[in-house]
Amino acid sequence: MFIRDFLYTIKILMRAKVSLFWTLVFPILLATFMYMAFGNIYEQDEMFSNIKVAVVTEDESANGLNYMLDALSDGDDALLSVTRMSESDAEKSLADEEVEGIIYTDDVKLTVAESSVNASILETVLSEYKQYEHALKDIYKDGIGLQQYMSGTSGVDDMSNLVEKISEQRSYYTEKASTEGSQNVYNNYFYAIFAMSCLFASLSSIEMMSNLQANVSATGKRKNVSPQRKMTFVLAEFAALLLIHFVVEVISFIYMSCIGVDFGDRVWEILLTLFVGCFIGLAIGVIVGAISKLAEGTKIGIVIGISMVMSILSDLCINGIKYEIQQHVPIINKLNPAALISDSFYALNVYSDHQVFTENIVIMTIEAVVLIAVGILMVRRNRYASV
Amino acid sequence: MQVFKSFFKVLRKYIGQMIMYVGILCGVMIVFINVGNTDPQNYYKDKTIKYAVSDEDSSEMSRKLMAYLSDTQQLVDGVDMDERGIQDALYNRAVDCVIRIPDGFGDAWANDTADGLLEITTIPGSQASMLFEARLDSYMNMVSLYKRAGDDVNDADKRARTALEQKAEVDMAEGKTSGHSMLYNFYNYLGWVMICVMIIGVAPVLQVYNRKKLRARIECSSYRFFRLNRELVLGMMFTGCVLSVVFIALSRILIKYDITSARGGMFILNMLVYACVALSLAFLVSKLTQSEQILSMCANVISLGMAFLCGIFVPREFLSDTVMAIAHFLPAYWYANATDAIDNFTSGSSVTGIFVSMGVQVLFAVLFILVGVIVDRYKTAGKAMA
Amino acid sequence: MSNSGNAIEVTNLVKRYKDLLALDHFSLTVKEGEILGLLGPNGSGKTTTINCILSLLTFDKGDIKVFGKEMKPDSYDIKREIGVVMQDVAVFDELTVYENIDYFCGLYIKDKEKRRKCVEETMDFVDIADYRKFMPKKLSGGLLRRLNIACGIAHKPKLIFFDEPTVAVDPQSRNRILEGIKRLNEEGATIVYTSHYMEEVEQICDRIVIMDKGKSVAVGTKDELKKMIKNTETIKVEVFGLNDEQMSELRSQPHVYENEYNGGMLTLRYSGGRHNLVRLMEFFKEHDISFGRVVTELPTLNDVFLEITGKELRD
Repeated sequence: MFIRDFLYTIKILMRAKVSLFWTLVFPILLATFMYMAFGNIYEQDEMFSNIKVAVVTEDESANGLNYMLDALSDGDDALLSVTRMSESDAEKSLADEEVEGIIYTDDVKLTVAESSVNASILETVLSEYKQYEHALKDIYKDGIGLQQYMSGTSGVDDMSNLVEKISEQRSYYTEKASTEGSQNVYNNYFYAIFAMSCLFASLSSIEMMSNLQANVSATGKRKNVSPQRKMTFVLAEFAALLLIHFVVEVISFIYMSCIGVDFGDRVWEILLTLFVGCFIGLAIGVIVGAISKLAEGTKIGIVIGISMVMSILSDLCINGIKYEIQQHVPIINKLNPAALISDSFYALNVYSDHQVFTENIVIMTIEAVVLIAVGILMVRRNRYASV
Repeated sequence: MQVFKSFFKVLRKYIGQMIMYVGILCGVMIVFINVGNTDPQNYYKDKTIKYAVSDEDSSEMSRKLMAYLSDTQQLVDGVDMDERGIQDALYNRAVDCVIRIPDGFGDAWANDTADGLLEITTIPGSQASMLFEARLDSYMNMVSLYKRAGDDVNDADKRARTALEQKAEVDMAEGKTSGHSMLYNFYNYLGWVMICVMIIGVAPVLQVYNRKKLRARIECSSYRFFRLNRELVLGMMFTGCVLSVVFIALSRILIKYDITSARGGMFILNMLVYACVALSLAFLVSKLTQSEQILSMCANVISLGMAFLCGIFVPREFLSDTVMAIAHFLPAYWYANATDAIDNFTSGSSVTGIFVSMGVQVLFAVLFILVGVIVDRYKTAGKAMA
Repeated sequence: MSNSGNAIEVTNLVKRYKDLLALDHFSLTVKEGEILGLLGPNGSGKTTTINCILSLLTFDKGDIKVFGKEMKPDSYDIKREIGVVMQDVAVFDELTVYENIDYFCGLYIKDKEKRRKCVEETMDFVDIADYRKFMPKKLSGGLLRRLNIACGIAHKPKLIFFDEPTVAVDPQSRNRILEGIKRLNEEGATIVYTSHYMEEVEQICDRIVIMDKGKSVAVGTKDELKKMIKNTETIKVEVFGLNDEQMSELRSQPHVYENEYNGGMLTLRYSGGRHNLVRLMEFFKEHDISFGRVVTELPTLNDVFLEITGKELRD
């Protein structure tokens, strides 16, 4: 009986082609749009590539700053990419966003289009020149130890020597990454898509619950007068829904991986996350569907509302909400199934161990089991006040 | 006015969800307002980098370094300095760099062997890490310079700081502003919420009147087809107006901006035009699907998709040329276009661009209605054949 | 199965929906092997009764025994012997005709081979085998009803409930359904049939329970029921221009206990008497009254209902 009901439910779901299509297309379309929008934002917005800068020099005579700029734009991973041009050309380039700033070497001045990190880097470079000029004059004025420090120079006026000193700078730090995983914070959006589409699975379990209750549907009446336990129906049909939705999520996952979203290489754990995600999504539908007093439309409204709010709280629309919650009321993230799903992806990507991931999976499983158990208890009573 | 009245009776069922989206908009705006003022600026402002630090050395030098950093950059408190805390903070950009000053740094520095001792955990290769590291090295090199010139730690720090106060002059190019006003943020996000609210709220109501049997009943009644449609349109317009008033009131309450100003007026006009687009889109969607479940997925795909592609959730400068080219075929692009232009609007600038953007939105609205009508004809014809 | 020979025994059943008393100390006995008709207007409690017997509904008072055992929601062995054909069509839109019957039959019969046989036989029985691959959405109203019936009876139950199975069905399909029910009964099934069409009930039921306002107002075979009332004959005549005097004269004719004149139609109800029509014709002749169509009817269940409750069965 279990297997038969399971198979028939799968058959019914597969034949409801329009719903099936949308369930599948929904996450894929969203992911496509998001990928189009975020495809290069990480590289472009956050990652450093050499800063294109226009240099305007009127006084062609030897100028220390020009030497320095040449030094900084030399090599493969140079800081700057320098183009020398006239003032009017430079202004045009800046307006056309071909360069990020104009450096006027004569009076050590910078013009930028906006306050940005790159503008600040340019400013730092330029200021450094002035700072050394100041420092060397300062030290020279003291006359202390200058000889031993700047051995063999003829004074601050020798600009090439100043540049030499600047480029001789030492580095006092070593840099390391916090994780081996992707640091692309925009991945959060894709995690949230999974969270949302898992929670939207609740729509189909609402329908399943309706088909089970004699006071909601005619098929429910048939099932109730049959010599079968409700538990059997719930379990078999739930299992069928779980399988279908899991397959849908896996297809979306494969699709997103193919278009280039970096989920890391812990594939089995991700599959487990998706499975448990569908589980909790369906469980929400079970409990809402068990409230027989509500009209079907109201139930749908409720689960869509719940799913949307939960997904938005886990960064579906605006990044950073989840982290803020984590900082101030972490308990919400530990209860919100959408946040748990998205956090599982995150943990798999960033953390090297499985502790947080396991925690999330366990919490989701417990939540789902509790919801389903309560849902079953609610429909278990077999007689109704009215049908 | 039977149809008009019944429109709102059906709509009642969906008001909860509509309120939810309006609530989400309010939530987002409140977050924005609390995060800080992002009024447009036309002067250059130095970027500071968010960082966290742990000082395991506690020498004189390390304390000077810490003091310098916290004076010039943005120290973030409350980051757990264990591995996971650092990972979370970095991934979510709560900090851009975490610096660890190891035990013995001060002594090593005194002996001139401190190269590479400071440990910076960051996102390697990011702009923020470049800037932070450049600033850190500037200071360290300058202090070292003075030390080698014979100063003790205190003097070296003091003089290095004086030297570092020398800044190159930075100008902003003319006519450029960066950042947006809060009112812009409000109307920008409205580009997403408006579509969602209309499709979630109005489309299912229209669907009711599409139902085969109900439609047949109304068509058989003495109610003329034209009158039915007229009252449905009235119902939609009324809904649009009520929502618009709600949005205007919200913008007034949340942002306290003078909505009677020329800019405020243009924002409102643009929103009204966009409301028409959203309503016509809801009409089209109601003709395409009959299921409530599919409708909610539709609403999300359309509203989120447009929000992402048209630069509502993502600043436009980050979108690729291809995406921008595609976005031209979406109404939200033109809405955002107008919003952008209105925000940068000064009394001298031309309004043509703004009105062109609004005009294109109107064309979209007309297009959606036409397609909706054609789909409807096609479907009814199909039914008659069957 | 039981020693009493009764398939169903319901005693003093009381069911309230908030303020509405749906069943008021209702009692019912269904003998094994009979077709019992539950007749009553809409809202008289027929469906409520069935739902109570099926343990779908809670009730406030009373006992329900099926096959001699108390019926409870988990009386799975009893439920196995029961078939139900609901008023609403309860089938899956996504399954074909064959699959639908197989699904519901499978809730009762585990064995695959046996089930296949049952499903085939049932499809032949309701004459839907030609449509076995059709989706329910493509079926006409009558076919859909037949599918609905097939889903309820495929497991060959001993006791079958038909709850208004002919609502919204064309006359041809209706007759086929009624014949089918008779055949099921001949094959040994006990049947409870509800309807508000007295013709159907008269046509197939062995015994009839007339319900009104949650009470059983009369029980018996159709002949027994008809004997319960004084009406033996009703004569209706199209006639013009009768005056009050003539009416009272008609009223005083032998055996007439009620007369009515309405819109050119004279209705006379008689209790007993053998030549009532002849006497009426003579009356017309005497008074030189011309008349049109004349109809004489033997008592119907409608008359029974009318006389007991004071209102018509249908409205």
